[in-house]
Amino acid sequence: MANATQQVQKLTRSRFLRLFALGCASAAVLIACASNPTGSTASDTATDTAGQPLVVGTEGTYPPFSFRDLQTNELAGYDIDVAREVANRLGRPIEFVPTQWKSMLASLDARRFDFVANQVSVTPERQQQYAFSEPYTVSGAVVIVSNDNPKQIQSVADLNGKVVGTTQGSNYAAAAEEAGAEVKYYSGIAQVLSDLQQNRVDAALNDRLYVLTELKEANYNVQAVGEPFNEEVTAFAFNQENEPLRDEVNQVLTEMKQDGTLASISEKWFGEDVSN
Amino acid sequence: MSVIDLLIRSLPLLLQGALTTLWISLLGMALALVIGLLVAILALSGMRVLAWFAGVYVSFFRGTPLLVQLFIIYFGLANIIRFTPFQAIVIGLSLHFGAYIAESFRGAILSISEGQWEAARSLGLKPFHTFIYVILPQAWRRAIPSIWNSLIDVVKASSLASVVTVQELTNVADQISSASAVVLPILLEAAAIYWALTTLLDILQRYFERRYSYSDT
Repeated sequence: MANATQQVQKLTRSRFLRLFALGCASAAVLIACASNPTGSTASDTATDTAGQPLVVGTEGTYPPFSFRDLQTNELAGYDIDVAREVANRLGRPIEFVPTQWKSMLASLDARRFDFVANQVSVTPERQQQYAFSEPYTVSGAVVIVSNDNPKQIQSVADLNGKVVGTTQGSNYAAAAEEAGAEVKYYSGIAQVLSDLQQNRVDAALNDRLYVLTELKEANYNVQAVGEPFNEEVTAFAFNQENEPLRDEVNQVLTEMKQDGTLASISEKWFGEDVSN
Repeated sequence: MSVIDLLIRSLPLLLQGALTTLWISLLGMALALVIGLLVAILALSGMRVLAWFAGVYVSFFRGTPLLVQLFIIYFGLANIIRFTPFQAIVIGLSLHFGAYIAESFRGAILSISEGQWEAARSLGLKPFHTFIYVILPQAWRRAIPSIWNSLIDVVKASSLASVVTVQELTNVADQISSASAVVLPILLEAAAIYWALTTLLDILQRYFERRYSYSDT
């Protein structure tokens, strides 16, 4: 008896739902089939025409290299200026795409950018994955500690067993691990320094140039200690399939080095020539 | 520049980002509701293949991080179909929260007594009309609190759009705080804007709950 009623009940409810579901499913299949030809617009490789904008990935959160100028609401910085001059000389407009570092290289893999202008350090591992331009910055890493410096860190050698804050995917992590430190990852340098002030991390590693300029102006309660180490060169990073563009960029970068343009952009931001 | 000045000066930029957040959220919520209802119907269809599909869908999109789903949609599929950043986040949000909402709808539809279906049939209502005029309004009412949890989550999760390069509220706040070296006040300012947006949703929830608050037992 109970079984029979249940049978009837099931039929009442599910008759509609069944028809409806079938309808939806077939509609979905139809739409999928119909939209397929228009949907798959795979990127054409190497169709660089003169008028097309150079699409450049950059963090936009890394002063003085790449940051949003709050007065003008435009991106500004050393890397931005160098990339703009490169585009200018190639006769192409430029379009910057502010991107978090963790999706920067994935974007390059997926050819969403022509190149990355964001102080990308040239390392052997990265060279296997990406094509790099001529370097346009020579720098090194430096240890940053809070002003009270409770762990008495004076140099990179003191980082053994300490907690070091760094940004996701940055190559400072490798330097910290080499020194025997435990690495904590943050989404940006501002968050690292914010935690460093509160001694939630013992030290941070960052670019000497960043420390040279921003740290002095900003009101962080932190200081740099010890000598710079791990000399680094940074360059524009390209997808390896994009070597023709890389070669074009290299040509104008070399021109810019020779005629002093690169040096004068560097003077503007750092007060010295950091380009070689 | 004092912190107060900075907060005032950054407000227009943040509001511009908030507008993007609002669009992403509205589209994400609308699509998630549609997907949720359709998947709930598939799950209840009693047809093995469709129910299986609905189960796998819910299991995957509810069971993996939205961040990973976004990376798959935006980067992983880039060779097959190139979504713009805006499309990627809207698709990601609707698929992810569609899974949660599907479960809310499924539970609510199941909670409507079978007697309602029988009564409607005995009155000569067609199954389609029964569902639209009898079952769905009651189920919707019961699903509101749990669906609204998901809708509010859509607004907050839209901040993940920053990883696919959308210039939304959190992304703009990040840029302002790193350019100005003022972190917490800017984040609090952004949080206040999020709170304002979700408060609007709260008000909408109360309106719907009042509107559908007849006794059904």
